[in-house]
Amino acid sequence: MVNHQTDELIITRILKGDSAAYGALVTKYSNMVFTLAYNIILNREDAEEVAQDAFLKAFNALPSFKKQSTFPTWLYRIVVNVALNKKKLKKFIVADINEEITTEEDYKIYPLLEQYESRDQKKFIQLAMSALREDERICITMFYLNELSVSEIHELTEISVANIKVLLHRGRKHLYAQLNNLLKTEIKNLM
Amino acid sequence: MQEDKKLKELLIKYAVEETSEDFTGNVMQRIELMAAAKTHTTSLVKYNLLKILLIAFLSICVVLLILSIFIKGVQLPFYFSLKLPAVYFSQIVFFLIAFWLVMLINLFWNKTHYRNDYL
Repeated sequence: MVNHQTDELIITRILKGDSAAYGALVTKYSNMVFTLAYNIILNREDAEEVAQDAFLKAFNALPSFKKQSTFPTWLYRIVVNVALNKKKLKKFIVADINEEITTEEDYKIYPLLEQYESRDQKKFIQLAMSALREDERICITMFYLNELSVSEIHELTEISVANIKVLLHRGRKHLYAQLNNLLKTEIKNLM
Repeated sequence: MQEDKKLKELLIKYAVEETSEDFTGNVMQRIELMAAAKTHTTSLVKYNLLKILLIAFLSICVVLLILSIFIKGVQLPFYFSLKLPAVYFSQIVFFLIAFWLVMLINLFWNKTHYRNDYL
């Protein structure tokens, strides 16, 4: 809440003509915007270009920011639009989802993962993330990293709420499975 | 739920991608360039003045058209010696119509394009 109030103060300053204040918002959200763009595009150079374009568009559109949503949610909407334009898509393509939500998920990877150094853990997580299906990866990114609610993800992606829930569940399951495979392969290689 | 929180912590710690070091600088530089370009391309004629001129032009046209209905057999106060073929006059009229049509379309286009430029 405090963060969003700070955002509003910065936005007020920018709208009064202090465009240099925008740098604070760029610094604050650059990694999250880049992470979202990267998980949609899966190419660092293109994702950085998308992130820059999104910040530029957001700056130009600031006078029309109605404060009906928070600044980051509004910004992520711009990122999604710019990334989709880059991919020459009108909306996200979601394959048929017929899977029911089950409660079983594999949590055994945590003790295994904790045996590795931070640098290696980061490598495994990033590899596992990039191995996910696109729709699952985007939902996981928006939900866990960008901290968007299911209804906000629905607004941004036009994927139905029920499908987002299934994609999140399936994404988690696949992420654990990928991590499990990666860690087992690593242990085999070490032996 | 606890595991979900654990996954969130793990992802925030390790799955956040980092931009290049000069990212903020690049964005701010592009904003400055854009602002500079905007100041250089600002129209010399203010939009409101353009609107007033357009309204004045249209009102004069309407007044002249109405007057032309009531005034008959007008004698020009000067001798118009230049004899141009009728086709020249029709060409001038068509040019004026085409010019104002393109001008209005351009104004309308600029307005809508400016509105839709952001999102």
